[in-house]
Amino acid sequence: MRILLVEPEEEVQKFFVDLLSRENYEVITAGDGTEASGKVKTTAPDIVMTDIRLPGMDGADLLKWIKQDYPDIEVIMITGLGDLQPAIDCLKIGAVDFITKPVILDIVKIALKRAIDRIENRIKLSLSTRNLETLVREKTRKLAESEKRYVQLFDELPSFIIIVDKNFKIIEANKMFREQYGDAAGRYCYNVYQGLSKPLPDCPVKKTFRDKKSHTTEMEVAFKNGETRNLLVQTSAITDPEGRILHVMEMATDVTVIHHLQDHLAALGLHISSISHGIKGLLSGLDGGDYMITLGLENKDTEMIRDGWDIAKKKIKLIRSMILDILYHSKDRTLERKAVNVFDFIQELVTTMAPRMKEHGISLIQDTPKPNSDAAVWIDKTVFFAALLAIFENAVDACVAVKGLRDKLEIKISVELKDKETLFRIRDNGKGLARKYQKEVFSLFYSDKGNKGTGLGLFIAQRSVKQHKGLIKINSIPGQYTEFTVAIPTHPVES
Amino acid sequence: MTRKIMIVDDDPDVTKFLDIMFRHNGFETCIATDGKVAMDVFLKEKPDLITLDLEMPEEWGPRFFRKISKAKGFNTPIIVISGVSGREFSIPKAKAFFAKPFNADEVLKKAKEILSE
Repeated sequence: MRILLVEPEEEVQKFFVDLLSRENYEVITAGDGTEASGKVKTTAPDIVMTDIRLPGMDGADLLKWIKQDYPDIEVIMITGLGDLQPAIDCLKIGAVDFITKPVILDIVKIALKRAIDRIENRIKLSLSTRNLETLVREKTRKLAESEKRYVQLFDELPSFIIIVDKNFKIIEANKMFREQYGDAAGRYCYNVYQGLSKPLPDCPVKKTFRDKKSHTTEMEVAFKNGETRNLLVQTSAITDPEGRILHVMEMATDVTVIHHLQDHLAALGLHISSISHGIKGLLSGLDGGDYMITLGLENKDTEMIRDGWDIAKKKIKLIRSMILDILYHSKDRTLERKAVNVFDFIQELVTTMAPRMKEHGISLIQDTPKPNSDAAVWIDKTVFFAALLAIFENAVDACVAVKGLRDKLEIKISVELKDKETLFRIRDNGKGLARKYQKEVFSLFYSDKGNKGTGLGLFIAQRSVKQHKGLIKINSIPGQYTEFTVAIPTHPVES
Repeated sequence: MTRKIMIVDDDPDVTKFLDIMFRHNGFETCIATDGKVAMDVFLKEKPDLITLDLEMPEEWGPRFFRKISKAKGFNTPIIVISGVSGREFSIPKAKAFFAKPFNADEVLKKAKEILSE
């Protein structure tokens, strides 16, 4: 500890220096206020002991100056016994203590102890204050970081996430949601997702607000590109520290692919059982043909041979188409796309269907590119042909179903060439399809043709179109018409 | 006396097959392409044996059997010929069950056996 002693009287000064040195203090001296202030600047003492009465700048002035410029230096006043009031005044303006002359050693020690305590306390305080500040800074940084991480997590999760209040109003939405539905804050979740005017009775958000538990449901929504998707919705409660429910988080994950797989598996299972039954019948027929041919050969009965062979041929044809169906269904071919001339393509399709149309008296209307047109589409011809053929066959079947009830049966095939996409339309004036079946037609094993349909045609058609990054749509009024529209990109697209 | 076999199946190629096979082996035949018309054919033709398919569009084999078995004094033997699994349980009183595709010789043998009882 370094003490600056300010004392004009040499005797007294010497006395103090002896005393303080014995107590192991480093002592610097000054005879007046001006000298003292200079030494404060140059020697940086911890404690200043000053007589109140000094020539020129007195002790009180020195104290004021020190407390103003060096507040950490503790000042002890020295005063005569009959001169207490100024010393007390000095305490009020920041002196730590005062001692009276004649000096009593213990009192000096007490005053010094008080000054030292104060200095040490201040050091401790400033240390812990500094620690606290560092801690707060550190924590704030971490908080900001984790907040940023959560926001990022919230935004980047590959699901639609919204936070809704008790009135189903969206108060926050993540990036994926905003990209699909725009800035939906303030709108109602049931309205944004499904265009409803009030929540459904079994709405999971409603349930979560009621019991704070997580609930799950599935819903079907339309994306802005017109696609129908299946979303798996999970809710969870967001509560305040007291456990009161404030908001519900709703996370919707696109599970359309899983649905397709499920459909695919269901279709496969159903199909296998129906196919195995069908094939048994076909084989019996084939055996019949075989029997008749053998019998005819034995008896040289050409009629019998011909009949038998007709049956065999018919069955072979059916078995072939069934097997092709299965192959298409079970194998995910990679597309081999090429630019294919639209006119040639349509011509082939129409030619393939011509015999069946003629057989049932269905006329064809064509609104397609003219011969020599160089319009082309980027397709895997085999796969895409199968898709359009299935739709075309469907149109013929729809006409056949109302044969005799219409003045004329007709199928219209048209192609619309646009810059980016090419639209194929096949429209028949057959029996039409009720709205509730319009989706089923594609997504599930579905046939309304009894054992004549495999139930696979349109399922495969949809898959083929999807493989081409295209869309397939159905538009129909029961008893009037059905129109399928297939839209595919005209040119190669980057996947 | 020539015995008459009634063939009930919705697949015309199968009925044709059975028809030719039975007739070639000295039986008379009659055909019903559906469970629904089978009743009329049965009453008119009074067959000695019936071969019955189970799955037919208008009326299923078992339903036809329930109806026909209620006819007075009915005891015409039945052979089930069907691709449906579980066919053994469909008509408990049937004399024999054959899966599709069936072995023509075995069906013929069975028919002869039943009719000679």
